[in-house]
Amino acid sequence: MTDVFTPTRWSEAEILDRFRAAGVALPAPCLPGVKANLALLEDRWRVVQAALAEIEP
Amino acid sequence: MSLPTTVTGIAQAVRRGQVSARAVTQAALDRIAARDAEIRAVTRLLTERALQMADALDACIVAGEDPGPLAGVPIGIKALFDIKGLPTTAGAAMRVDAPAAEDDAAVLQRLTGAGAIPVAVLNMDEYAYGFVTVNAHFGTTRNPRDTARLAGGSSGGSAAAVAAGMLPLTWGSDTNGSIRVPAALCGVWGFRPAHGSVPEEGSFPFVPMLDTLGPFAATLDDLETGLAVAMGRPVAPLSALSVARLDGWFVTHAIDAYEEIFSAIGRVLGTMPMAHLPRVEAARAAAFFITGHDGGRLHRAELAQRPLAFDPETRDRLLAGNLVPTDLRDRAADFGAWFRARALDLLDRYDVLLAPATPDVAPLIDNPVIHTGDGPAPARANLGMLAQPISLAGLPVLCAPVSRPGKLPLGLQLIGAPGREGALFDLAARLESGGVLGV
Repeated sequence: MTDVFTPTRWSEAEILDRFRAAGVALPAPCLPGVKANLALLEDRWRVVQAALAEIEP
Repeated sequence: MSLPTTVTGIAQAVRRGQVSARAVTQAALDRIAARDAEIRAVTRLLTERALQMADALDACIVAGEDPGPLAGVPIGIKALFDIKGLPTTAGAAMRVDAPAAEDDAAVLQRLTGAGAIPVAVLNMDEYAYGFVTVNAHFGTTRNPRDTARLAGGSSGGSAAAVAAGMLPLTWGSDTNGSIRVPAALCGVWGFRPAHGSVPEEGSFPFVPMLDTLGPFAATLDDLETGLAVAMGRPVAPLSALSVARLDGWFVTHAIDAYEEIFSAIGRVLGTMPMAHLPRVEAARAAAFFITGHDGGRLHRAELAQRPLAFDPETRDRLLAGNLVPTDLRDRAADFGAWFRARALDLLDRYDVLLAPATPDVAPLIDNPVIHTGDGPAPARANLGMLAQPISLAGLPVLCAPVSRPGKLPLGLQLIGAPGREGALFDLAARLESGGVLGV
Protein backbone atom coordinates (compact mmCIF):
# COMPACT_ATOMS: atom_id res chain seq x y z
CA MET A 1 0.00 0.00 0.00
CA THR A 2 1.24 3.51 -0.77
CA ASP A 3 -0.06 6.81 0.57
CA VAL A 4 0.89 8.63 -2.63
CA PHE A 5 -1.89 10.20 -4.70
CA THR A 6 -0.52 12.83 -7.07
CA PRO A 7 -2.70 12.89 -10.20
CA THR A 8 -1.50 16.37 -11.10
CA ARG A 9 1.77 14.67 -12.04
CA TRP A 10 0.07 12.22 -14.35
CA SER A 11 0.25 12.82 -18.09
CA GLU A 12 -2.99 12.88 -20.07
CA ALA A 13 -2.03 9.53 -21.58
CA GLU A 14 -1.58 8.11 -18.09
CA ILE A 15 -4.98 9.42 -17.02
CA LEU A 16 -6.60 7.81 -20.04
CA ASP A 17 -4.78 4.55 -19.31
CA ARG A 18 -5.98 4.56 -15.73
CA PHE A 19 -9.56 5.06 -16.88
CA ARG A 20 -9.21 2.26 -19.39
CA ALA A 21 -7.96 0.01 -16.59
CA ALA A 22 -11.11 0.94 -14.67
CA GLY A 23 -13.26 0.01 -17.67
CA VAL A 24 -14.12 3.60 -18.64
CA ALA A 25 -13.29 5.11 -22.03
CA LEU A 26 -12.92 8.78 -21.16
CA PRO A 27 -14.49 11.07 -23.80
CA ALA A 28 -12.14 13.89 -24.80
CA PRO A 29 -14.52 16.70 -23.71
CA CYS A 30 -14.39 15.36 -20.15
CA LEU A 31 -10.63 15.55 -19.74
CA PRO A 32 -10.28 19.21 -18.60
CA GLY A 33 -13.03 18.85 -16.00
CA VAL A 34 -11.65 15.54 -14.80
CA LYS A 35 -8.16 16.99 -14.41
CA ALA A 36 -9.53 19.91 -12.39
CA ASN A 37 -11.39 17.53 -10.10
CA LEU A 38 -8.38 15.24 -9.72
CA ALA A 39 -6.37 18.27 -8.60
CA LEU A 40 -9.01 19.01 -5.94
CA LEU A 41 -8.95 15.40 -4.77
CA GLU A 42 -5.15 15.47 -4.58
CA ASP A 43 -5.31 18.62 -2.47
CA ARG A 44 -7.88 17.09 -0.14
CA TRP A 45 -5.89 13.88 0.21
CA ARG A 46 -2.81 15.88 1.16
CA VAL A 47 -4.78 17.47 4.03
CA VAL A 48 -6.04 14.09 5.23
CA GLN A 49 -2.60 12.53 4.93
CA ALA A 50 -1.05 15.29 7.04
CA ALA A 51 -3.70 14.83 9.72
CA LEU A 52 -3.17 11.07 9.77
CA ALA A 53 0.56 11.55 10.16
CA GLU A 54 -0.03 13.71 13.22
CA ILE A 55 -2.63 11.57 14.98
CA GLU A 56 -1.21 8.10 14.37
CA PRO A 57 1.60 6.76 16.53
CA MET B 1 -63.15 27.45 8.39
CA SER B 2 -60.07 28.65 6.56
CA LEU B 3 -57.58 25.94 5.80
CA PRO B 4 -54.75 25.54 8.30
CA THR B 5 -51.22 25.76 6.90
CA THR B 6 -49.03 24.00 9.47
CA VAL B 7 -48.53 20.27 9.83
CA THR B 8 -49.99 20.18 13.31
CA GLY B 9 -52.87 22.48 12.35
CA ILE B 10 -53.77 20.45 9.27
CA ALA B 11 -53.58 17.10 11.02
CA GLN B 12 -55.68 18.31 13.93
CA ALA B 13 -58.38 19.79 11.69
CA VAL B 14 -58.51 16.74 9.42
CA ARG B 15 -58.66 14.31 12.36
CA ARG B 16 -61.55 16.27 13.83
CA GLY B 17 -63.35 16.34 10.48
CA GLN B 18 -63.25 20.15 10.41
CA VAL B 19 -61.64 20.18 6.96
CA SER B 20 -61.32 17.43 4.38
CA ALA B 21 -58.02 15.97 3.27
CA ARG B 22 -59.19 16.53 -0.32
CA ALA B 23 -59.58 20.27 0.28
CA VAL B 24 -56.14 20.49 1.88
CA THR B 25 -54.58 18.48 -0.93
CA GLN B 26 -56.25 20.53 -3.63
CA ALA B 27 -55.12 23.74 -1.93
CA ALA B 28 -51.51 22.51 -1.96
CA LEU B 29 -51.79 21.67 -5.65
CA ASP B 30 -53.23 25.13 -6.28
CA ARG B 31 -50.35 26.81 -4.41
CA ILE B 32 -47.84 24.84 -6.47
CA ALA B 33 -49.62 25.84 -9.69
CA ALA B 34 -49.51 29.48 -8.65
CA ARG B 35 -45.90 29.63 -7.49
CA ASP B 36 -43.75 26.93 -9.01
CA ALA B 37 -43.41 28.30 -12.52
CA GLU B 38 -41.10 30.89 -10.97
CA ILE B 39 -39.37 28.72 -8.33
CA ARG B 40 -39.01 25.39 -10.17
CA ALA B 41 -38.95 23.29 -7.03
CA VAL B 42 -41.27 20.60 -8.40
CA THR B 43 -40.26 18.08 -11.04
CA ARG B 44 -43.42 15.96 -10.99
CA LEU B 45 -46.90 16.33 -9.54
CA LEU B 46 -48.61 13.29 -8.04
CA THR B 47 -52.10 14.71 -8.51
CA GLU B 48 -54.08 11.58 -9.22
CA ARG B 49 -52.51 9.50 -6.46
CA ALA B 50 -52.73 12.40 -4.00
CA LEU B 51 -56.44 13.02 -4.56
CA GLN B 52 -57.19 9.30 -4.35
CA MET B 53 -55.30 9.07 -1.06
CA ALA B 54 -57.09 12.15 0.24
CA ASP B 55 -60.48 10.68 -0.57
CA ALA B 56 -59.54 7.40 1.09
CA LEU B 57 -58.37 9.29 4.17
CA ASP B 58 -61.58 11.31 4.32
CA ALA B 59 -63.51 8.03 4.20
CA CYS B 60 -61.48 6.77 7.17
CA ILE B 61 -62.38 9.86 9.15
CA VAL B 62 -66.08 9.37 8.40
CA ALA B 63 -65.70 5.73 9.53
CA GLY B 64 -64.29 6.92 12.85
CA GLU B 65 -60.70 5.83 12.23
CA ASP B 66 -57.64 7.91 13.13
CA PRO B 67 -55.18 8.16 10.23
CA GLY B 68 -52.34 9.38 12.46
CA PRO B 69 -50.30 12.47 13.33
CA LEU B 70 -49.82 13.52 9.71
CA ALA B 71 -53.50 13.12 8.73
CA GLY B 72 -54.07 14.86 5.42
CA VAL B 73 -50.74 16.70 5.46
CA PRO B 74 -49.53 17.33 1.89
CA ILE B 75 -45.84 16.53 1.56
CA GLY B 76 -43.16 16.70 -1.12
CA ILE B 77 -40.22 14.36 -1.52
CA LYS B 78 -36.84 14.75 -3.14
CA ALA B 79 -36.56 12.94 -6.46
CA LEU B 80 -34.41 10.17 -4.98
CA PHE B 81 -37.17 8.44 -2.99
CA ASP B 82 -38.91 5.46 -4.57
CA ILE B 83 -42.55 6.05 -5.37
CA LYS B 84 -44.44 2.93 -6.36
CA GLY B 85 -45.13 2.84 -10.09
CA LEU B 86 -42.71 5.65 -11.04
CA PRO B 87 -39.05 5.76 -12.06
CA THR B 88 -36.75 7.15 -9.37
CA THR B 89 -34.73 9.71 -11.31
CA ALA B 90 -32.40 10.96 -8.53
CA GLY B 91 -32.36 14.10 -10.63
CA ALA B 92 -30.79 12.37 -13.62
CA ALA B 93 -32.18 12.77 -17.12
CA MET B 94 -30.83 9.32 -17.97
CA ARG B 95 -33.21 7.78 -15.43
CA VAL B 96 -36.52 9.23 -16.61
CA ASP B 97 -37.19 5.89 -18.33
CA ALA B 98 -35.79 3.73 -15.52
CA PRO B 99 -37.94 0.80 -14.36
CA ALA B 100 -40.78 1.85 -12.10
CA ALA B 101 -40.26 1.40 -8.38
CA GLU B 102 -42.07 -1.64 -7.00
CA ASP B 103 -42.90 0.05 -3.72
CA ASP B 104 -42.65 3.32 -1.86
CA ALA B 105 -39.41 4.06 -0.01
CA ALA B 106 -39.42 2.89 3.61
CA VAL B 107 -39.53 6.41 5.03
CA LEU B 108 -42.35 7.35 2.66
CA GLN B 109 -44.29 4.32 3.90
CA ARG B 110 -43.89 5.57 7.47
CA LEU B 111 -45.09 9.04 6.48
CA THR B 112 -48.10 7.85 4.50
CA GLY B 113 -48.83 5.31 7.25
CA ALA B 114 -49.26 8.32 9.54
CA GLY B 115 -51.66 9.98 7.10
CA ALA B 116 -49.34 12.13 4.95
CA ILE B 117 -50.27 12.65 1.32
CA PRO B 118 -47.39 12.94 -1.18
CA VAL B 119 -48.28 15.54 -3.80
CA ALA B 120 -44.98 16.43 -5.49
CA VAL B 121 -41.52 15.18 -6.41
CA LEU B 122 -38.86 17.82 -5.81
CA ASN B 123 -35.79 19.02 -7.67
CA MET B 124 -32.19 18.23 -6.75
CA ASP B 125 -28.65 18.25 -8.09
CA GLU B 126 -28.09 15.23 -10.27
CA TYR B 127 -27.45 12.19 -8.07
CA ALA B 128 -27.29 14.58 -5.07
CA TYR B 129 -23.75 15.62 -6.01
CA GLY B 130 -23.91 19.38 -5.44
CA PHE B 131 -24.88 22.24 -3.13
CA VAL B 132 -26.79 24.39 -5.64
CA THR B 133 -29.74 22.57 -7.30
CA VAL B 134 -28.65 23.61 -10.74
CA ASN B 135 -29.82 20.69 -12.84
CA ALA B 136 -29.08 20.55 -16.56
CA HIS B 137 -32.28 18.60 -17.25
CA PHE B 138 -34.80 19.65 -14.60
CA GLY B 139 -33.71 23.27 -14.30
CA THR B 140 -32.41 25.57 -11.56
CA THR B 141 -34.47 25.91 -8.38
CA ARG B 142 -34.71 29.57 -7.40
CA ASN B 143 -34.60 30.81 -3.83
CA PRO B 144 -38.09 31.99 -2.77
CA ARG B 145 -36.54 34.66 -0.50
CA ASP B 146 -34.86 36.24 -3.55
CA THR B 147 -35.47 34.55 -6.87
CA ALA B 148 -32.24 35.93 -8.33
CA ARG B 149 -30.39 33.65 -5.91
CA LEU B 150 -29.72 29.93 -5.60
CA ALA B 151 -31.80 27.80 -3.26
CA GLY B 152 -28.80 25.69 -2.28
CA GLY B 153 -28.69 21.96 -2.60
CA SER B 154 -28.76 19.22 -3.23
CA SER B 155 -32.23 19.15 -1.65
CA GLY B 156 -33.00 22.61 -3.05
CA GLY B 157 -36.47 21.75 -4.28
CA SER B 158 -37.41 20.47 -0.81
CA ALA B 159 -36.27 23.65 0.96
CA ALA B 160 -37.73 25.98 -1.66
CA ALA B 161 -41.14 24.28 -1.63
CA VAL B 162 -41.44 24.99 2.10
CA ALA B 163 -39.97 28.49 1.90
CA ALA B 164 -42.40 29.41 -0.89
CA GLY B 165 -45.35 28.19 1.18
CA MET B 166 -46.23 25.51 -1.34
CA LEU B 167 -45.95 22.64 1.15
CA PRO B 168 -45.69 22.50 4.96
CA LEU B 169 -43.42 19.45 5.12
CA THR B 170 -40.92 18.05 2.64
CA TRP B 171 -38.27 15.42 2.69
CA GLY B 172 -34.69 15.46 1.47
CA SER B 173 -31.33 13.78 1.95
CA ASP B 174 -28.08 15.00 3.49
CA THR B 175 -24.75 13.40 2.67
CA ASN B 176 -22.38 16.35 3.00
CA GLY B 177 -24.86 19.10 3.89
CA SER B 178 -27.67 18.70 1.37
CA ILE B 179 -30.40 19.41 3.92
CA ARG B 180 -28.53 22.00 6.00
CA VAL B 181 -27.27 24.14 3.10
CA PRO B 182 -30.63 24.69 1.36
CA ALA B 183 -32.50 25.00 4.67
CA ALA B 184 -30.10 27.77 5.69
CA LEU B 185 -30.17 29.61 2.38
CA CYS B 186 -33.97 29.43 2.05
CA GLY B 187 -34.64 30.25 5.71
CA VAL B 188 -36.55 27.14 6.81
CA TRP B 189 -36.07 24.46 9.47
CA GLY B 190 -34.21 21.29 8.48
CA PHE B 191 -32.94 18.20 10.24
CA ARG B 192 -30.09 15.86 9.39
CA PRO B 193 -30.76 12.76 11.49
CA ALA B 194 -28.00 10.69 13.03
CA HIS B 195 -26.71 8.25 10.46
CA GLY B 196 -28.92 5.17 10.47
CA SER B 197 -31.77 6.56 12.58
CA VAL B 198 -34.20 6.91 9.63
CA PRO B 199 -34.61 3.90 7.29
CA GLU B 200 -32.94 4.38 3.91
CA GLU B 201 -34.39 1.44 2.00
CA GLY B 202 -35.90 2.61 -1.27
CA SER B 203 -33.88 5.81 -1.54
CA PHE B 204 -31.29 6.24 -4.27
CA PRO B 205 -27.89 6.14 -2.54
CA PHE B 206 -24.96 8.49 -2.97
CA VAL B 207 -22.34 7.74 -0.28
CA PRO B 208 -23.87 5.10 2.02
CA MET B 209 -21.37 5.82 4.80
CA LEU B 210 -22.63 9.42 5.02
CA ASP B 211 -26.18 9.38 3.59
CA THR B 212 -29.12 10.40 5.80
CA LEU B 213 -32.77 11.28 5.10
CA GLY B 214 -34.50 14.16 6.85
CA PRO B 215 -37.31 16.74 6.89
CA PHE B 216 -37.81 20.42 6.09
CA ALA B 217 -40.61 22.44 7.69
CA ALA B 218 -41.77 25.99 8.29
CA THR B 219 -42.12 25.54 12.06
CA LEU B 220 -40.07 23.78 14.71
CA ASP B 221 -43.06 21.75 15.90
CA ASP B 222 -43.72 20.55 12.37
CA LEU B 223 -40.10 19.53 11.97
CA GLU B 224 -40.24 17.46 15.15
CA THR B 225 -43.53 15.85 14.17
CA GLY B 226 -42.16 14.78 10.78
CA LEU B 227 -38.90 13.53 12.25
CA ALA B 228 -40.63 11.48 14.94
CA VAL B 229 -42.82 9.71 12.37
CA ALA B 230 -39.80 8.94 10.19
CA MET B 231 -37.72 7.63 13.09
CA GLY B 232 -40.63 5.54 14.32
CA ARG B 233 -40.34 6.95 17.83
CA PRO B 234 -40.94 10.27 19.57
CA VAL B 235 -38.06 12.65 20.09
CA ALA B 236 -37.22 12.07 23.76
CA PRO B 237 -37.51 15.34 25.71
CA LEU B 238 -34.14 16.57 26.97
CA SER B 239 -32.84 19.88 28.24
CA ALA B 240 -29.83 21.55 26.65
CA LEU B 241 -28.02 22.54 29.84
CA SER B 242 -24.59 23.21 28.38
CA VAL B 243 -24.07 24.84 25.01
CA ALA B 244 -20.87 25.92 23.27
CA ARG B 245 -19.90 27.54 20.00
CA LEU B 246 -17.39 25.73 17.79
CA ASP B 247 -14.27 27.81 17.20
CA GLY B 248 -11.55 27.82 14.54
CA TRP B 249 -12.72 26.70 11.11
CA PHE B 250 -16.33 27.54 11.95
CA VAL B 251 -15.45 31.13 12.88
CA THR B 252 -12.81 31.80 10.24
CA HIS B 253 -15.00 30.78 7.32
CA ALA B 254 -18.26 32.49 8.29
CA ILE B 255 -19.24 36.04 7.41
CA ASP B 256 -19.20 38.73 10.11
CA ALA B 257 -22.99 38.73 10.43
CA TYR B 258 -22.66 35.57 12.50
CA GLU B 259 -20.87 37.51 15.25
CA GLU B 260 -24.03 39.51 15.93
CA ILE B 261 -26.03 36.28 15.90
CA PHE B 262 -23.79 34.57 18.45
CA SER B 263 -23.84 37.69 20.61
CA ALA B 264 -27.63 37.52 20.60
CA ILE B 265 -27.50 33.82 21.50
CA GLY B 266 -25.13 34.63 24.36
CA ARG B 267 -27.61 37.18 25.68
CA VAL B 268 -30.41 34.60 25.66
CA LEU B 269 -28.36 31.82 27.23
CA GLY B 270 -26.32 34.01 29.56
CA THR B 271 -23.06 32.43 28.45
CA MET B 272 -21.46 31.22 25.23
CA PRO B 273 -18.16 29.37 25.73
CA MET B 274 -16.09 28.38 22.74
CA ALA B 275 -15.30 24.71 22.11
CA HIS B 276 -12.59 23.24 19.94
CA LEU B 277 -13.12 20.37 17.54
CA PRO B 278 -9.68 19.34 16.25
CA ARG B 279 -8.66 18.96 12.60
CA VAL B 280 -11.90 20.17 11.07
CA GLU B 281 -10.25 21.01 7.76
CA ALA B 282 -9.08 17.42 7.49
CA ALA B 283 -12.58 16.21 8.30
CA ARG B 284 -13.96 18.24 5.46
CA ALA B 285 -11.22 16.92 3.17
CA ALA B 286 -11.85 13.33 4.22
CA ALA B 287 -15.58 13.62 3.57
CA PHE B 288 -14.84 15.12 0.16
CA PHE B 289 -12.35 12.36 -0.67
CA ILE B 290 -14.61 9.51 0.46
CA THR B 291 -17.50 11.06 -1.47
CA GLY B 292 -15.44 11.18 -4.66
CA HIS B 293 -14.42 7.55 -4.31
CA ASP B 294 -17.77 6.09 -3.27
CA GLY B 295 -19.90 8.21 -5.60
CA GLY B 296 -17.59 7.47 -8.51
CA ARG B 297 -17.65 3.74 -7.91
CA LEU B 298 -21.45 3.75 -7.51
CA HIS B 299 -21.88 5.19 -11.01
CA ARG B 300 -18.93 3.54 -12.74
CA ALA B 301 -21.00 1.23 -14.92
CA GLU B 302 -23.13 4.11 -16.25
CA LEU B 303 -20.05 6.27 -16.72
CA ALA B 304 -18.55 3.49 -18.83
CA GLN B 305 -21.67 3.04 -20.93
CA ARG B 306 -22.92 6.61 -21.50
CA PRO B 307 -20.80 9.30 -19.87
CA LEU B 308 -22.23 12.07 -21.99
CA ALA B 309 -25.72 11.39 -20.64
CA PHE B 310 -24.66 12.82 -17.26
CA ASP B 311 -24.97 16.43 -16.23
CA PRO B 312 -21.45 17.69 -17.06
CA GLU B 313 -20.96 19.20 -13.60
CA THR B 314 -21.72 15.86 -11.97
CA ARG B 315 -20.00 13.69 -14.54
CA ASP B 316 -16.49 15.10 -14.25
CA ARG B 317 -16.52 14.79 -10.47
CA LEU B 318 -17.80 11.22 -10.59
CA LEU B 319 -15.25 10.32 -13.24
CA ALA B 320 -12.36 11.76 -11.23
CA GLY B 321 -13.50 9.91 -8.13
CA ASN B 322 -13.04 6.65 -9.99
CA LEU B 323 -9.28 7.16 -9.91
CA VAL B 324 -9.14 7.52 -6.11
CA PRO B 325 -7.42 4.39 -4.76
CA THR B 326 -9.64 2.41 -2.42
CA ASP B 327 -6.89 1.91 0.15
CA LEU B 328 -6.53 5.69 0.47
CA ARG B 329 -10.30 6.09 0.74
CA ASP B 330 -10.18 3.60 3.61
CA ARG B 331 -7.43 5.64 5.27
CA ALA B 332 -9.68 8.70 5.02
CA ALA B 333 -12.42 6.64 6.69
CA ASP B 334 -9.94 5.75 9.46
CA PHE B 335 -9.48 9.46 10.03
CA GLY B 336 -13.27 9.80 10.07
CA ALA B 337 -13.48 7.33 12.98
CA TRP B 338 -10.88 9.34 14.90
CA PHE B 339 -12.73 12.58 14.22
CA ARG B 340 -16.08 11.14 15.29
CA ALA B 341 -14.54 10.00 18.58
CA ARG B 342 -13.25 13.54 19.22
CA ALA B 343 -16.67 15.00 18.43
CA LEU B 344 -18.35 12.58 20.84
CA ASP B 345 -15.75 13.49 23.50
CA LEU B 346 -16.81 17.11 23.11
CA LEU B 347 -20.47 16.13 23.32
CA ASP B 348 -19.74 14.49 26.67
CA ARG B 349 -18.96 18.00 27.93
CA TYR B 350 -21.66 19.91 26.06
CA ASP B 351 -25.24 19.00 25.21
CA VAL B 352 -25.25 21.10 22.04
CA LEU B 353 -22.55 22.56 19.83
CA LEU B 354 -23.34 25.54 17.63
CA ALA B 355 -21.88 26.47 14.25
CA PRO B 356 -22.95 28.42 11.18
CA ALA B 357 -24.55 26.24 8.50
CA THR B 358 -23.05 28.05 5.51
CA PRO B 359 -20.23 30.57 5.19
CA ASP B 360 -22.44 33.19 3.53
CA VAL B 361 -25.97 33.98 2.35
CA ALA B 362 -27.44 32.51 -0.85
CA PRO B 363 -25.29 33.40 -3.87
CA LEU B 364 -26.62 34.96 -7.02
CA ILE B 365 -27.52 32.52 -9.79
CA ASP B 366 -25.67 34.64 -12.33
CA ASN B 367 -22.58 35.07 -10.14
CA PRO B 368 -22.35 32.06 -7.82
CA VAL B 369 -19.62 33.30 -5.49
CA ILE B 370 -19.61 33.29 -1.68
CA HIS B 371 -17.27 34.80 0.88
CA THR B 372 -15.22 32.50 3.10
CA GLY B 373 -12.18 33.08 5.28
CA ASP B 374 -10.12 32.57 2.15
CA GLY B 375 -11.94 35.40 0.33
CA PRO B 376 -14.38 35.06 -2.57
CA ALA B 377 -14.83 31.42 -3.53
CA PRO B 378 -16.97 29.39 -5.96
CA ALA B 379 -20.28 28.59 -4.31
CA ARG B 380 -20.64 25.13 -5.78
CA ALA B 381 -17.47 23.82 -4.14
CA ASN B 382 -17.65 25.74 -0.86
CA LEU B 383 -21.25 26.16 0.31
CA GLY B 384 -20.95 22.93 2.27
CA MET B 385 -17.60 23.60 3.92
CA LEU B 386 -19.14 24.10 7.40
CA ALA B 387 -21.62 21.23 7.08
CA GLN B 388 -19.35 18.59 5.59
CA PRO B 389 -17.14 17.98 8.66
CA ILE B 390 -20.18 17.24 10.81
CA SER B 391 -21.37 14.70 8.26
CA LEU B 392 -18.12 12.80 8.73
CA ALA B 393 -18.84 12.61 12.46
CA GLY B 394 -22.30 11.12 11.75
CA LEU B 395 -24.06 13.39 14.24
CA PRO B 396 -27.67 14.64 14.25
CA VAL B 397 -27.96 18.30 13.33
CA LEU B 398 -30.93 20.62 13.59
CA CYS B 399 -30.52 23.42 11.05
CA ALA B 400 -32.36 26.49 12.30
CA PRO B 401 -33.26 29.66 10.42
CA VAL B 402 -31.86 32.78 12.07
CA SER B 403 -34.43 35.53 12.58
CA ARG B 404 -33.27 38.30 10.22
CA PRO B 405 -36.27 40.35 9.12
CA GLY B 406 -35.59 42.11 5.85
CA LYS B 407 -32.28 40.34 5.30
CA LEU B 408 -31.27 37.25 3.37
CA PRO B 409 -31.54 34.04 5.42
CA LEU B 410 -28.71 32.45 7.37
CA GLY B 411 -28.82 29.14 9.20
CA LEU B 412 -27.37 27.77 12.39
CA GLN B 413 -26.29 24.17 13.01
CA LEU B 414 -27.35 22.78 16.40
CA ILE B 415 -25.23 19.65 16.74
CA GLY B 416 -25.85 16.90 19.28
CA ALA B 417 -25.07 13.31 20.14
CA PRO B 418 -27.01 10.46 18.50
CA GLY B 419 -30.13 9.63 20.51
CA ARG B 420 -30.12 13.04 22.23
CA GLU B 421 -32.02 14.95 19.55
CA GLY B 422 -34.38 16.29 22.23
CA ALA B 423 -31.67 18.65 23.46
CA LEU B 424 -31.48 20.21 19.99
CA PHE B 425 -35.23 20.85 19.91
CA ASP B 426 -35.14 22.23 23.46
CA LEU B 427 -32.41 24.73 22.62
CA ALA B 428 -34.03 25.70 19.31
CA ALA B 429 -37.31 26.42 21.10
CA ARG B 430 -35.56 28.59 23.69
CA LEU B 431 -33.67 30.53 21.05
CA GLU B 432 -36.85 30.98 19.03
CA SER B 433 -38.62 32.29 22.13
CA GLY B 434 -35.67 34.62 22.64
CA GLY B 435 -36.12 36.05 19.16
CA VAL B 436 -32.86 34.71 17.74
CA LEU B 437 -34.30 31.94 15.58
CA GLY B 438 -37.41 31.64 13.46
CA VAL B 439 -38.77 31.87 9.94
